[in-house]
Amino acid sequence: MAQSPDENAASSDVLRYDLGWKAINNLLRQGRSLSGQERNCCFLNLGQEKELRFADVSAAIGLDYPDDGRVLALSDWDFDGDLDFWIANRSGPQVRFLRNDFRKPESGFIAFYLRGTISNKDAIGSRVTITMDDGRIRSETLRAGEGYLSQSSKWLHFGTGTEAKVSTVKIRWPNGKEQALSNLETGQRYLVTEGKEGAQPWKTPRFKALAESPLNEPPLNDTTRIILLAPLPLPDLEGLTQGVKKARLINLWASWCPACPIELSDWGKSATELKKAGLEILAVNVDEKEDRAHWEVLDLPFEYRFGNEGLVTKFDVIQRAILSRQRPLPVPCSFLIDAAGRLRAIYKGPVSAEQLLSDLRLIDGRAEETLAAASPLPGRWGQPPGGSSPQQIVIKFLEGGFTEDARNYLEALIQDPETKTVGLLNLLGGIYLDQQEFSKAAAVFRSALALDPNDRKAHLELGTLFLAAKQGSLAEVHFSKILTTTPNDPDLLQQLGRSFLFQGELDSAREAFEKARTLADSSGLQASLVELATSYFDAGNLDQASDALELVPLETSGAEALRERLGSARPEK
Amino acid sequence: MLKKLIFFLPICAIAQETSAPLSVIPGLEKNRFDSAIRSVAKLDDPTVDGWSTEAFNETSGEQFNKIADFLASDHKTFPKGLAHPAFRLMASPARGATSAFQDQSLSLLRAASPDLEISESFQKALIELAEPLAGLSEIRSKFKTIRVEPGDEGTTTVTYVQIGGRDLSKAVQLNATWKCLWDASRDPPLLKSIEVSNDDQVSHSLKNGQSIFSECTRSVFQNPETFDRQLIYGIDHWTSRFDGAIARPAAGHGLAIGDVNGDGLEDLYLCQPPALPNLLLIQNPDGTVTDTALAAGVNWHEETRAALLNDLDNDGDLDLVAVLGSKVVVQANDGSGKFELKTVIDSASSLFSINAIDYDGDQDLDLFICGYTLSSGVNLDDVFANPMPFEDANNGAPNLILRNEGGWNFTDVTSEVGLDQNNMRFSYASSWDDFDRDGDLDLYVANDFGRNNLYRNDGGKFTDVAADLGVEDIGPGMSASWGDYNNDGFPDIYVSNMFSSAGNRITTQSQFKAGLKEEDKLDFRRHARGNSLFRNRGDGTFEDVSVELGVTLGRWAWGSTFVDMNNDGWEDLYVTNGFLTAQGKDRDL
Repeated sequence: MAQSPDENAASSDVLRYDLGWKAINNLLRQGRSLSGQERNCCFLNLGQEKELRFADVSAAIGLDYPDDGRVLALSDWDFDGDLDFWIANRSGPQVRFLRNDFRKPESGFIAFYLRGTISNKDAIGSRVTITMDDGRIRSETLRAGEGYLSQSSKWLHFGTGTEAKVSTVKIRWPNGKEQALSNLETGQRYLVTEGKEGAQPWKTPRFKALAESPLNEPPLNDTTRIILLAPLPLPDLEGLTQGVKKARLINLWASWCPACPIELSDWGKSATELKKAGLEILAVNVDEKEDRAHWEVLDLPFEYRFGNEGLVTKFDVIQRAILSRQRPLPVPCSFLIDAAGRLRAIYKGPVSAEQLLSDLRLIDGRAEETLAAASPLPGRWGQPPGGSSPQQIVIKFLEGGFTEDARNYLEALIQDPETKTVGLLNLLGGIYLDQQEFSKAAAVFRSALALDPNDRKAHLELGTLFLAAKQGSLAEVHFSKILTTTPNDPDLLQQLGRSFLFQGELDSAREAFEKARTLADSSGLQASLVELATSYFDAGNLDQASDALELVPLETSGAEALRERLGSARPEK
Repeated sequence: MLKKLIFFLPICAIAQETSAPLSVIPGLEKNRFDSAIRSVAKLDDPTVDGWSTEAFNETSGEQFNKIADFLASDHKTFPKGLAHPAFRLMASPARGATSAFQDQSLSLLRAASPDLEISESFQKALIELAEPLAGLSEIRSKFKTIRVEPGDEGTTTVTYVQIGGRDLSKAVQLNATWKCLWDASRDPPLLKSIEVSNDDQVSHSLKNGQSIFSECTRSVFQNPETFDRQLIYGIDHWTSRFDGAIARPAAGHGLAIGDVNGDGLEDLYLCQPPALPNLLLIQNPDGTVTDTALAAGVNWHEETRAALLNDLDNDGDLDLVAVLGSKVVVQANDGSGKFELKTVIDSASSLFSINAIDYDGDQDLDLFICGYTLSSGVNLDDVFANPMPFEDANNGAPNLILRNEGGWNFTDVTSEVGLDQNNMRFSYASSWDDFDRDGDLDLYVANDFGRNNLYRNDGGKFTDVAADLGVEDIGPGMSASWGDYNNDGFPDIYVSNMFSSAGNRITTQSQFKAGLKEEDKLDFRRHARGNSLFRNRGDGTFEDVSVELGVTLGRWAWGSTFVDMNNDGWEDLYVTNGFLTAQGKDRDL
């Protein structure tokens, strides 16, 4: 990855650094591992007064789970006198409950539950200090939430060892008042109420022991039904997805896939019903070489065609754009598209005719029903989420080298005010730039600014376009605009300077170049300074020309020639 | 916001999942959507980018793997092509000279350095190494090389070695640091010597293979269906089957323990990743749990990072605060474990850990919440934001403290109390304790990509004193906890960071950021060092004791905590870690 840029970084460096992160994010979405399979660590405090240190005992005591572990909360959940662990993971199992059987309940601990009366009821912020009869002191503070995303039990648990007894216990309540307790026994739990003398022994419930049950996450299974949260306008894929005017199911199947003909035949049995419900089925064969016999033998009343590699890859692009975790497309798989050419569902693995009929009803159904189908575990939404964006498809097209598809798709999307966004306009502008269609590029960047007058990307691209056309005053407007938010970007300052140069405003150009130079020198900036010196020279301002030349190294291209011309125009004194 | 809250119960089954695995369409396995990745991967390929030492790490790593294979075998077939004819082992005599720890189930033998015994046969060295593992199964070895230094006599590597194995009566773990000298002129390189230090042998006695900790997750659910349907899976399962607008990669989802219904038993509020509803696991009298989130009105569907069960209105029951993205949702408990929505607070930050604390001593609990990135203007699909500058980033998002005004009203008083100092970090976690023992609780905040904060509380006004007290701990801070590990009455700090063996190797080399000053390089090195333990000296200052106490190697750490696991009166440490594990056969990066 590119090295991290400094605070006053040039926009080009920031871009490179962003690309590094982008690449990492991409890797993760594709399911690559990064510092994966790491085992949780447990450090045992050896408790030697003289030479205190810890030892890694994770593997020995079996706490070295290879999960992507995240959150850890402690509680003597089963009240057997030692602290059990609840752990939340990124990987499966998403949660673990690990019962600690270190000590049996007889002794070895003492625990307190504090109740505030004057202070906050939870008594958060209290500090309990216990002194053992061998002189050891232990203290703990009652907290509500600590560490990474965690809140442990409100019980304050003290390990005491089995040898020593508790001499005194001191509680400092949040308001600073202190309370002393005596005659407390290890192996006991106590309730202590603020302002009330003594501690009340707490009767420990007894549980039956839970059975141990080793866990393994089941292997990843691709079979799934993905209902899109919101209809997603599709690019036209070889005339299959747009302008059909009917709901359509595009099924990808292969002759070598045993489940495929079974699925197709199953639909064949319900062909009349499916047709009546307004669904057209198109079976796309994805075999390496077409052999129509495979299709004809099925004898089904559906449309058929052969799908070349390009078409299949584009369907793969679309599903990758929708799912956060990308997996290559399997067979069979199907895409449910509505009459307006918008994607509504993806099925990986076989889907029944009955399910299709039910999902067809979602197309004209209420948004709540779609949301319920898209996130099928019942729950409460504060604010229902919006749907996936076409932008992801465009980006995937570009990454995969399908530039023309991206361009056509974008041109269609920006025709519709419903789908036109600044992001899409800028992406299209970028494609036009690559294809050297500069006036088209300028037009879409202007449309982007019409939607968001502050958009940096559009300003930057327009400024650059005008500079290339030597239209200094137009370029200046755009560079000045973005410099208001990042006034110390040396790249932008250089471009602003060049905008002035083209307008003949040499002193303003010089000011911009000099500021850029104090932030970061670059060969581009040196070339611009030579340009400035030349302009000064041509205008007859020999002193300024010579000053500007002073700012660049001797070997800068063009500097030596100009120096000679300066020398002959103004002989050394 | 309240108006926008809708509540309905979708009744729909998850698509039937058949068990037969699906076949991928040929040609799609080869990924073509990774031009950015390819260019970065090329940069990172050690054989092309000039980091020849990284290439050496790969080849020497393959040699270590031969040792791992030998240890996992019956110890009869010795690996070939591994040692130089002049091989020497330097280790302390008769490993396990002294007992460093012993209780009824755990023992630790520590080899006495520095009297080095020299063994001149590689075969003999392997036999000695394998001796404590004789007869054990499930033998696993891990070699993490943290230095690669080419020299005149060969290339020297420094490697952390961990080897574990078990049978029905005991589990054994060997920890050591190996300094190896290699003949690098040979391909693969040959071991000329191994010098062993920090040589520990841990033994844990088992009863019928049963360890001190028992995995009881599935059996703690009275109805295992909740577990089997939702919790057995990791996030990748959900992000590969739901619209990406719902199921995104998530950084973490929290846990909150408390007695929600006042029956004396602990309950658990389990936050879930996006696409899944949060669970409220109420403990039954037999120790199992039942999910009541639906009836309790707390089955939030949004990505929930953290939650807290505390009494916010001083009525004697535990209320719920949940952090949903950039929103703080507060719900009142009616005493029976049913919750009513009281307020939703919007913030500018994407929020992480949350604490309750009565910082101003007005007898009600206020809320402190960590902000990581700004909630707008970032690409939610990206797991990472773009921290700048990487080693000391200051483009994160503000943390906030919300003062409890009573009547379920909360006011953001972050600036008023001084917590706006140094407050644009990538904050993941925080923890409160009275480090200076002046009677009020102070606040430590762990920040990713940079330096941490220690805010000293002076009667409700805060000052960041992390730099003055030497606890900035510049690095990828993920978690922080207070605990008195040395029982001197003063709380010490443990911070989760990332240990990266690659980072250790690279940042210690001369060509790393060659133009940078040595002191600035230290910042980068700290990013790879791992976890930190700061001893409270008791005079208001701290000492970094991480390395000498041996607690840095927490790998890519997330949560960590002090915990006296064995009730011996000394705080131990537990660390959860690992960034991203892909299912399947993908190679780790």
